[in-house]
Amino acid sequence: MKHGSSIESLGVYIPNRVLSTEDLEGRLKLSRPLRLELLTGIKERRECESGEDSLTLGEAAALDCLSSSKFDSNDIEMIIYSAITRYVGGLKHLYEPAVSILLKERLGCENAICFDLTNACAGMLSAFHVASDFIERGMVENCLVVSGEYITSLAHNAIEHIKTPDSPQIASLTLGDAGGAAILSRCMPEEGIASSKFVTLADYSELCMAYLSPTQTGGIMETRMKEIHEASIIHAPEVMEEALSEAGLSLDQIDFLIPHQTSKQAIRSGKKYFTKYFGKMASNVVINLSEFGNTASTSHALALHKLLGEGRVKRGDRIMLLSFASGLVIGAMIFVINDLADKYGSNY
Amino acid sequence: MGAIIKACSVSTDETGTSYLSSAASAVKNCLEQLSPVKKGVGLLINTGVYPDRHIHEPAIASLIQGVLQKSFRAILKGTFSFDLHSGGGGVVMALSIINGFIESGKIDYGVVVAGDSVPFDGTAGALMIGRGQSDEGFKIFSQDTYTHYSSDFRSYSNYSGNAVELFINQDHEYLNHCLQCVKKSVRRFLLDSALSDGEIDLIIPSQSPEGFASALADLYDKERVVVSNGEHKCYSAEVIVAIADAQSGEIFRNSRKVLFINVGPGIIVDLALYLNPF
Repeated sequence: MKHGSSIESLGVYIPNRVLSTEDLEGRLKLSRPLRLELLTGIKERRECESGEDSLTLGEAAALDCLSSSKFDSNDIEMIIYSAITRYVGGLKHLYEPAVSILLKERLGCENAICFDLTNACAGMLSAFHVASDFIERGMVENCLVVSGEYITSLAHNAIEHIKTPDSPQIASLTLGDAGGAAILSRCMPEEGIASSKFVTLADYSELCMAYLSPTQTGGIMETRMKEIHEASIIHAPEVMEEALSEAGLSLDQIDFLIPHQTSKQAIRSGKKYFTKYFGKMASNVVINLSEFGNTASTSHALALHKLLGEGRVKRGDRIMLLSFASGLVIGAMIFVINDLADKYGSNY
Repeated sequence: MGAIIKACSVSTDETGTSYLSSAASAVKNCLEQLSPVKKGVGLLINTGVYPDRHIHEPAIASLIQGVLQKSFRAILKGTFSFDLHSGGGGVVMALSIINGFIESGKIDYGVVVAGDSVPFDGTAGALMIGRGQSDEGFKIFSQDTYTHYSSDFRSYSNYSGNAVELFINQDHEYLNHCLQCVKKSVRRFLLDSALSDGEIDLIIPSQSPEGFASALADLYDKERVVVSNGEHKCYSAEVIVAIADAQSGEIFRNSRKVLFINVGPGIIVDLALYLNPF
């Protein structure tokens, strides 16, 4: 029998330390101001304090997620760690073992199989896509997907490299640290995730590259912003159409469209393009950048968690999570809000 | 319906350092062996652990796809690529994902590619998986983790003041622990699968840690365990290199029940039973 899969619980962790855009921009040596806050809508982001790293961010988000779940840690059957960053013990990039193994040990999920899945900012939603297949085939009953993005080292490292407003490292200044976690679990076939479509448009695979800095602690990232943004919005409608078609919906039947959170300007220009393309639009397009910035693979979890916490989404609402990531990965996942709506109070 | 191995290829980078170029070459060989493919490759999963230049982003799989995109545009049109990290043992888990997507009808073909840059020699292995008959292909997957040995092996990179350095810490008991864990997992796997040890015709294991495959051959039956000749200084691609070694002789095609064993830091043991099409 084919099962359905749904998001049963959601958790986040946001570090306490605030890093404002004004502070970051003040450290740049440019002849004229960048006006980053105006362009991106990012007023501030959070960053890790001493003792925090990708693992601890992920662990804290997973504990938050478990606290709202019907499942105990012992009930978890699969763990997928899905972040870009794998910093454990400061800015040490852990290659082995898998971070999911360390999470399994720390969380006491004794019965879980585990692996790490990396797919740039699409990591968490890619993990949802893979986990859903395991759940729908009846191989596991649930899966805990966890991301811990300790990614602000890219912003700090970019400061000394940015000499002009069109520097390829400008996008690094938008990044913020956060942990996100979700439990996907079995449900009736007609409930939960209605469709999930992902594709990699590899002609654009080199438009955004990040790696360990050869001259600084942590990472650096170089992005051809204009090109990757244009490619993303031009190709997204095809993926969205496939997902909508499989779900038997049109775009105006989507209550909340949550795109990957990069910048306010990029999201608004995408919205304009999609409205023209489809001749209609989702009721709400979510922008959640002001306090957190671009938190990479955790951005959808943060945005959805905030919507739930504010009580803005209700049972039966249709959500589309729209993923854009280096690769170029485009993904669209549509699901209907169920019990999730009842689990979260006014957290924001 | 079972998902079967349609093609297997191993490639070595001439410079002995770049995994990306050898990975693209290995995948290209698989695609060419199938060409012309009427249906595209739905999933491309990279399970390499140590990438070129410590790249974090994008997924190495998408960079591999990027190298091949122009030559195989039709085949790679709807491909979804990502990286899977499971220490040295990601190949079998990637096969499990591809097998599932084929079973559920979401894709027709999937490719898993593995290999590592420095400190290894860039050797890459690729496997193309596609739909087979009901009495053949991958049948049972299983994973056990032994987290009490999670500190046995740690590797990480860090900026040391003038360069990015790779640090590897391996406990002197790591090999023994891997053997103990694999023995326990195989025993349980056979029991759960209602199979006896004697029914397995061929065992294709990870080759590392150093000495693991030969120790496994001593434990079971030397004739049934593939021990690679050490020609390649590779790591995550070992299982695929071992498949290629076995396929180059009679042993693979004469074996009906094949057991794949992936072991890696964690300690994590992934097993798969494969019914070889005759």
